[in-house]
Amino acid sequence: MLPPSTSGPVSQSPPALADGTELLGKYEGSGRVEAPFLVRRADGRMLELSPLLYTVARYLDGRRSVDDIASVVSAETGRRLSGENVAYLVTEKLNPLRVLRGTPSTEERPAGAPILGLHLRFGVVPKGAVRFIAGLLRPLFVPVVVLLMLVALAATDTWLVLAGRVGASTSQLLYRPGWLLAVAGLTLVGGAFHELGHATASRYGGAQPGAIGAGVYLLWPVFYNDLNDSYRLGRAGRLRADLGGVYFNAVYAVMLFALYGATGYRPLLLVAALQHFVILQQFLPFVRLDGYYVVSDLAGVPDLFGRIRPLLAAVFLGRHATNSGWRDLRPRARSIVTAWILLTVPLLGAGVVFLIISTPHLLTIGAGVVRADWRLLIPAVRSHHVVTATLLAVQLLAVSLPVLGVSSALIRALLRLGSSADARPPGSAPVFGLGALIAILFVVGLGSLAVR
Amino acid sequence: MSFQDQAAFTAAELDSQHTAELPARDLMIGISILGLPLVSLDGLAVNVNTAGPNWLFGSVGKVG
Repeated sequence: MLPPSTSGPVSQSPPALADGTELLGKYEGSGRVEAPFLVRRADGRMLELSPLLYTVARYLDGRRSVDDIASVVSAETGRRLSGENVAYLVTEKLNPLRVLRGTPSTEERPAGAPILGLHLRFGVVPKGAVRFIAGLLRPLFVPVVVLLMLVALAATDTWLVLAGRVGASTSQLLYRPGWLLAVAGLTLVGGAFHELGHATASRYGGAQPGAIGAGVYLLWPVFYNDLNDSYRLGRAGRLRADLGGVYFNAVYAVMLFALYGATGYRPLLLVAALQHFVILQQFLPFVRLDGYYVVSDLAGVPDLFGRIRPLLAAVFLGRHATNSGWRDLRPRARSIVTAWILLTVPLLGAGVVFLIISTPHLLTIGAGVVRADWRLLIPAVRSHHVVTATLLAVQLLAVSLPVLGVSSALIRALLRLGSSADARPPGSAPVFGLGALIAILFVVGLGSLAVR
Repeated sequence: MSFQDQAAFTAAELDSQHTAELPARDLMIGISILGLPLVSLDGLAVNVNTAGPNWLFGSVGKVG
């Protein structure tokens, strides 16, 4: 007997996939024991389905009845499936994913978007322009070109170290606001170029990159590139897309060095050297920077954070047999994910404790900087000191954005708390608790500033 | 093998069919800019923020 239905029937007519839904085949390099299959929804979001569901989905053409579908799927799988079974799978499994014709619009983002994920996002370069530029830059991923670029980077690094020019440039930077502004601008351009690297690598592999935008991740302003479509690539293609950003940082450093050779403009050297720190930072796997996606794709597990609770339960509470989050992973994937968790949980935990302890202090310092900068900004604008005014504005923005980020996360957490439990992502209670704690400290910090 | 000889899918098998919405792949880079000193001139003093994304406020202070 089938489990009880939790949602109403889709319709009496033959079921069909919604327009724009793409069936993409097997999810290559998956860490799951039973490799899932990929479906791209009309809104660009990727879904994974079990082989049986994918086989059923392939025959949802609006002409075949559930009995017809049952016959062809039975023949294909070698297992007997009834029309009632197909109706159950369509209604209970596929319909909630919003891939069927006649289901509500898929335009809006799902309610389960993580509270501490990327937010306050807005587009900077539309996807059409990103794809066009990525198409032009594709030759940069031809293997021989990659090799040449890396050799050029090693040569310029050797020169930079031996010549010792970077240290001298850094000390002069403090006394030349114009240079400082140039460094800020060039570093921002480098961030956008990094994202183009992801887009170009994705395009080189055969996927279609999305828009490049800006937003706030946790506390920090970021550029991002929407690479949802790169799920369709094999493991090597996804890894190339993950590493394309830091590769473009290397290309950018070489370009800046060449420009320095032509112009002798010292800030170029400094920005070229900074790219190395950017690359190192991007490899950190603990938050959703490039290193996180590299680990994720090596393991074949798209959501590493979602595996923390089941794997901790398996390792420390011995809940292997009943724990689907543990059982459904291959041994290699389990090893990689377990190592990642054992590193990430203590480090992030320590980071959160530090943040909680220091929030009032950080807010006090931040408010002091904002007050001081604001007092200087008005006279700088009035006296037409463009460079100083721009620097002050940039600093005000840099100090304010984390506060805006925390405020935004807080508001979203409160809105989510006010919604029904069904609308929250599963297992999110600890995140809500932590968010509430940070929010309380945040409010206390603001209150103490107001009192002063 | 005829259709009737095939083993039928059980209710438990049907119920356990896996579906998931994969997380968004938004590959990001911090632009609070690692190591970039943001400076404001305040008389002889200089506010320096050697801000990295992970230490944005941590190193805000006055020098000079």
